Amino acid sequence: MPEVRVLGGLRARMGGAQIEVPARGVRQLLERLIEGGGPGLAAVFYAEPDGGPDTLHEDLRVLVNGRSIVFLDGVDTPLSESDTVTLHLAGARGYPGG
Amino acid sequence: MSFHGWTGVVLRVNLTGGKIQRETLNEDWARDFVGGRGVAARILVDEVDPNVDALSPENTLIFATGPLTGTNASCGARYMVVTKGPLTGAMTTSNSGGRWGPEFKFAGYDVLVLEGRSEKPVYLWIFDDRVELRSAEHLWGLGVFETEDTIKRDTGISDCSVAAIGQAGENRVLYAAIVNDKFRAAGRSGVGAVMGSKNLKAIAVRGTGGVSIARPREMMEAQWRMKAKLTEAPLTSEGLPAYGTLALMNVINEHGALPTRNFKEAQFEKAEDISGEELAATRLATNKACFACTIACGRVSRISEEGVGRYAMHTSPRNWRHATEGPEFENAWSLGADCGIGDLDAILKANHICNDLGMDPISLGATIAAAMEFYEDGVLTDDQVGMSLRFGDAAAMLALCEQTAFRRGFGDELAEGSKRMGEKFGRPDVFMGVKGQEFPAYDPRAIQGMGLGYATSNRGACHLRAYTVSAEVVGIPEPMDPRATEGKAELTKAFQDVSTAVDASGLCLFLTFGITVGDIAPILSAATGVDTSEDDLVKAGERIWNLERVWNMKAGIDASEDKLPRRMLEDGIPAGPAAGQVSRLGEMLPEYYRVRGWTPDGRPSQEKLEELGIG
Repeated sequence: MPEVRVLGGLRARMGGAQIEVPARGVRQLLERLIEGGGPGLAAVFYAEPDGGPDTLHEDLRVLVNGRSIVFLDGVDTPLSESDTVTLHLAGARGYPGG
Repeated sequence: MSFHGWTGVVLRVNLTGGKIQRETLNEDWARDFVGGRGVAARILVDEVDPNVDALSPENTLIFATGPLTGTNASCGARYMVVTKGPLTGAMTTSNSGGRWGPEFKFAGYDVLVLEGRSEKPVYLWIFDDRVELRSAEHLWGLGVFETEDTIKRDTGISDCSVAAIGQAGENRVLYAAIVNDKFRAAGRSGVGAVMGSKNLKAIAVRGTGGVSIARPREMMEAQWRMKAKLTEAPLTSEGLPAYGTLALMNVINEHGALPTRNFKEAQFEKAEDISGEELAATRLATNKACFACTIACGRVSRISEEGVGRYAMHTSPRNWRHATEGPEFENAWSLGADCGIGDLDAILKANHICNDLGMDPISLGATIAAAMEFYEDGVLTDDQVGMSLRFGDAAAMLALCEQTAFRRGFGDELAEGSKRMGEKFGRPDVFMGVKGQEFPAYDPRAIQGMGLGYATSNRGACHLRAYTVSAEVVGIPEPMDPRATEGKAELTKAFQDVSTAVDASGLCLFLTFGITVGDIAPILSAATGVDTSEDDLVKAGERIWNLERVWNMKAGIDASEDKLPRRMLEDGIPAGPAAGQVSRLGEMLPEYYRVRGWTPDGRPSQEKLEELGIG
C-alpha cells in the first residue's frame, strides 16, 4: 500500500513520520488519514473543515513520488501500491503578488 | 535633508596611514540605493577599480547598514559587507545578522569604509564617537571565539559586538568569512580574506545612541501590521522557529533536488538523519533570535551523548555543555549530503569549526566534496591528501576543515576553492558552481529557476539572490512547475530585484516568507520620512542589480560567465523524482536578458541604465 511520509510539524499531529494507508488515490488517502487521525486533521488538510478534499488548505503540500499533485491530477491523482506520498505544510507568503 | 533612519554618517578608516574621518552620507545615494548593499555598492563603484587585485591594499572593504537596521522593525538586524571578492573576482555582497549592525548604528554610523592595509595587525575599536585603531598582535593567530572574548576583556566592555576573522581570514582562504557575535557570519565569497589582507583582525563596536525615526506613530502602526502577518504565516510563526532553515532538508530531498556526493546524485539516503526534524528531536537546546527578530530561526544545538567523545567542543558560555549554534540548512547540506555524510554530530562540529576559524561552510563543504570525487576517481592518492578521502568519511572531512583554515597539507589546495583546485588537477569538471563560487543546496536540474538564478547571480552561485524555490517547491506566491522553463525569467528577475531591495533596507530576507515589499515600504517611509512606494523599492533593487552587473562587466565578468557546469547541462539526474532532468538554461537565458531590458548578449542597455538613473 502507498507509504505516506510526513514532514515537519505535521508529524506531531499525525503521530509519526511514516504511515502506510490503503488508498487508490490522493482523495481517498486524505479521507482515510482524517478517519484515523481525528477530525482535527480536516482543518489542516481542507480549506473548510467540512468542505472535503476538493479545496485543500492553502498551506498543505502533497507530493506523489516527489511531484506536487498540482502538476498531476490534484486530489484525483491515482495511487499504486508502490507510490510514496509526502505531506508537509508550507505557507511562505512573501515576494511580489504573495 | 535631516537624516532619519539613516544616521547620515560614513566612517572612513585608512588602514595604511591610520587616518580616521567622518563624512556625510550622500543624500542622493541614500534615496536611490536605500542603504546596505545598495549604498555600499554605489561607494565601491565610485572608489574601486574593478580590475584591482581583491587582496591588495587598493581594494576597499565596506560594511553598510540599512535605514531599518537597529530600528524596532522586525528583523532589522542586518548589515552587508561589500568588496571585490577574491573567490570570484566579482563584486561580492555578503550579509549578516546578530547584533553588530545595530550596535554600529547606535554608535552613530551608517557605513564603514576600510581602505589600504595596516603594516601590523590591528583591530578597530568604536565606542560612539571614540574610534581607534588598536594593536591586534596579541589576537593574530586566534580563532573568532577567543578573539571576541579577549577584546571584551581588554576593553572592559562585555556588551560590545565583535566582527572578526579567524585563522582562515589571516591565511587568506579564498572563502574566509567575517563572523560577528561568534555565530553570525558574512559568509560567502571571501570577505574574510579581504579583511585579513588588510591586517584587520576585528571591528568591535558599542553604541549608546538610538536611531531617529521620522514618523514614530506611523512606524509603529506599520510595524504592528507586519508583525501580525508574520504571526499568521506558518513558516515565520511555526516552521522556522521549530526547525530553523534545516526544515528544508527533507522537503528538498523529497523533491529529488538535494545535491548529493558533489551533485552526482540528487537524493540523499540519510537526509532524515541530518534534518531539522532530527535536530529538534535529539539535539536542539533552544532557538535564538538576532536583534529585533520575531522569527528566531537560529539554533542552539548540543552534540548527542554518543557524539561527545568524538566531537567535544569548547564553547561559551560553558554551561551550554557541548553546545554550539547552527547548523543552517545550507551548511548541513554542504558538510553533510554533498560529502555523503549523514552524521549530524560531525556536521555540528564542522559547522562550529567554520564559525571559530572563520570560513564559509558552503564553499568549504562543496570543495571537500569535489576532492572526494577526485579521490574516488583516482585523481588524488592517500599520499597527496594525507589520508583516505571517500564520500561519507566524517573524520576526514573534519580534519580537512582544520587543515584548510591553516593552509596545512592538502588544506592549502582546498583553501583555493573547487574551481581552482579542479583546474590544477586537470579536472575542472568537478567544480559545481558559477563565477568561481560553489553552488548551495538546490540541484538546478530539478528546479529550473534556480539554475537561471545561479547563472545570473552577480556574486556567483547563490540561493539568496533569487529564491525561486519559493514558487517552484513551496508554491508561493503561485505554484510553478520546477521542471518547466516558461515564466522563469520573469520570476528570477522579480526575486532578484526584491531580494536586493530587502538587503538594502537592513531587514532580513526571511521576512519575505511572511510579508511582501508592499509591507516594507510604509515602514521604510515612516522611518526615513522619505515616502517610498512598493514600486520605488523594487526599482531600487533593480537599480542596484544593474549597478553590480555593470561593475562586474568592467572586471571582465560578462555574459560568458552566466553559465552552469557541463554536468548540470548534460548529465541527467540518475535517479529519484527528477530522474533524467538536466538544466535547460539555454531556453531561459535569452528571455531573462530580454525581461531585464538588456541586449541579447547580456549587457544592460543604455536605455535601461538611463531609466534607472545610472546611465
